[in-house]
Amino acid sequence: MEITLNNNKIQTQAATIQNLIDSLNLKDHNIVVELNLQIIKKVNWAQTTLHKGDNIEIITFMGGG
Amino acid sequence: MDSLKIGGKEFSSRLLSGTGKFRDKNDIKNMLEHSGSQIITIALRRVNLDNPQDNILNFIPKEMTLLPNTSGARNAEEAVRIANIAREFGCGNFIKIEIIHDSKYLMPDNEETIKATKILANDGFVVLPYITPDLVTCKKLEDAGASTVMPLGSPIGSNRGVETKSLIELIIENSNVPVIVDAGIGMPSHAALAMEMGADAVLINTAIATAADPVKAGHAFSLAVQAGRMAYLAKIANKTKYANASSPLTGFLNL
Repeated sequence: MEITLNNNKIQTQAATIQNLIDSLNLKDHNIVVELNLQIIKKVNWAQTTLHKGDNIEIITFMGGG
Repeated sequence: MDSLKIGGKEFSSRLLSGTGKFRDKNDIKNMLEHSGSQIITIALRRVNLDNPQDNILNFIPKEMTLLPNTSGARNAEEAVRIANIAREFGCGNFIKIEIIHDSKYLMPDNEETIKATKILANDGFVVLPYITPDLVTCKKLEDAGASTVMPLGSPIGSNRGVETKSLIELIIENSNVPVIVDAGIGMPSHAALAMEMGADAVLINTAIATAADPVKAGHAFSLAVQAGRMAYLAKIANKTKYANASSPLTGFLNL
């Protein structure tokens, strides 16, 4: 199905946020995930299902001033 | 002890450091050791999915107080969203509000910053707003619950020093919260000037990060901030129009 991930439309087989994070090899990264502008806590990734058209943002800390 | 108090925490260092623009992130840790900084700014961005970078937190000692900024926000709503994401990382509740929609001068939007400050302070954040120096804005920020005010010395990354000196002096004279001069400080002498004026702290990123030797630059700024603070506390003399002799004006050996 098609979802928007970090402002890019992609096709994914991932059924949940946890599947998506695993498929992107990001499970060891320090990230926060938003689904349709709502923060999804890490403990809820596995039970949060993805739907066609969802907007996912995966955010991390970077150097900044 | 002459400490800086923000959000219920006490800091012995009055130099806040940024972590952007370092050529080698390994320099950040060494720089922090030499600058003595205890409050460290970071930014939030989308993960680069093609090349996820090393966690910036790996380069910042655990005992530091992290100060995520809301850079990228163009209005209060976006700043609030970014602040909430930042808090979700579990690294504390300090937030630097930075709301900018002009890429040429990177001037902050004071009005939107006041709005965001009110929302975030009410929600338990320790809010450090970055602003164009304006006394009225500072009073409104205090009322909105800001923990500090952070007027700019000159445009971000411009290294031009404290060009807004007289406006910042007004703020320092009237502020009930710490005044941190943020942005534009390019040389240790600029930092010393800000501290001599009575600023409570300075925030420096570009000048340290882009120096050929960021570690040494961090140390230089640390010494300047300490010297400036000490000079302020010592109430070193005022300017006068005419000379005041340093040696006695009597008993000259005139022939």
